[in-house]
Amino acid sequence: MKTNKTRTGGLLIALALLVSACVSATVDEPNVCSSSDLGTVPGAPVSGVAVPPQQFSTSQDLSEVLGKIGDVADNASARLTQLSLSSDNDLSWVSQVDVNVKGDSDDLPDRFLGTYRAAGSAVGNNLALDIKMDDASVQKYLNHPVTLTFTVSGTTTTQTNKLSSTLCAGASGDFSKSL
Amino acid sequence: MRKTIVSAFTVALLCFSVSASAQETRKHPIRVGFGMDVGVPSGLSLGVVLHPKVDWVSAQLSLTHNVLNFGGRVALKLDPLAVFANNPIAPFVDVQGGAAAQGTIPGHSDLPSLGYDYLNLYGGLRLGKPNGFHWNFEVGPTYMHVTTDNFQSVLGNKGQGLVVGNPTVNGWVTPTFVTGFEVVWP
Repeated sequence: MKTNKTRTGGLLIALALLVSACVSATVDEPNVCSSSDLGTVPGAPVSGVAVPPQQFSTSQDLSEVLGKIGDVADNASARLTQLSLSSDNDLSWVSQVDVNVKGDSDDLPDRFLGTYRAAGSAVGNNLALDIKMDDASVQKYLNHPVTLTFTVSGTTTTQTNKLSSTLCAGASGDFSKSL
Repeated sequence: MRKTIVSAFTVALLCFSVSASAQETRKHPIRVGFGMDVGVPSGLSLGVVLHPKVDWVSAQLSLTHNVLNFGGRVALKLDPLAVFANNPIAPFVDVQGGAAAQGTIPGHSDLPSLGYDYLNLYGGLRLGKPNGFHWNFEVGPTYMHVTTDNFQSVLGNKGQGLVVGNPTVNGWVTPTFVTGFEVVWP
């Protein structure tokens, strides 16, 4: 009887240890990216002529995926890791790009998000924009579907440019759970 | 007076026993053995045990399998009471470092894969003599670095235009455990 009680007690202790395991960890999602087409800039007969700024808008939604991190982690935070403008041709004709962001509610008004200024060197077909919004505000907007408006300034080019945008965010959070 | 003589005789016997055991421990060559255990997070493990000259320190190099994939583990154990060769029960300290390769749940290669590195800081209990067959129970905290792959598959058809990176998790799990046996040839 004594032996059986000891074995049973040992098993119960082992099971209690297993079911009472604690996990304290940090989860990190390095990149969630959304790409979308912006529109086409037609080629011109003559290149190098200054043209008025053109606007292109697109909707992006990273909120569902970033929300999954928030469901798991206690203090999830999100950050913009990439905002870029791409083309199927060279973008050296672009002198300036300004991006505004607007959310899907009144408390997420139209605000300046990022910008690009040409430095005079060859750029290829991808422009990385500098983020000008603070992290806390970025996180507020990323938790909702947003509309990005790109204002593109530059000169004419003989090539047609199919423009697209890419928005990437990273998220991380801590969690402590008893299993 | 009698008590004093008996006490002195007992102490002398103990000293002789310790001295003889210590001499026996000091003189033995490098001992090799093998071990098998099961636990979390290492899984099922089969390894080679090495006692370099003394029994109170040993190293183990193991091949592991955690259902998802194979891995490896290195362990360093300190068992100070192993200097008493005939001591059948003793506590010990064990530091284990291991890794498990990325693997998917069997039959579900479409799902994300998972792999991890870990460091176990265990205290344990040895049942059996250190220079023969003995069973170990070990428990303690584990630090894990977990990596994933193919996380994009989670999105399925919902993720058109959306690209998801592979998340990582770093942190402590407490407690974890391992239990198994070792056989060391004298």
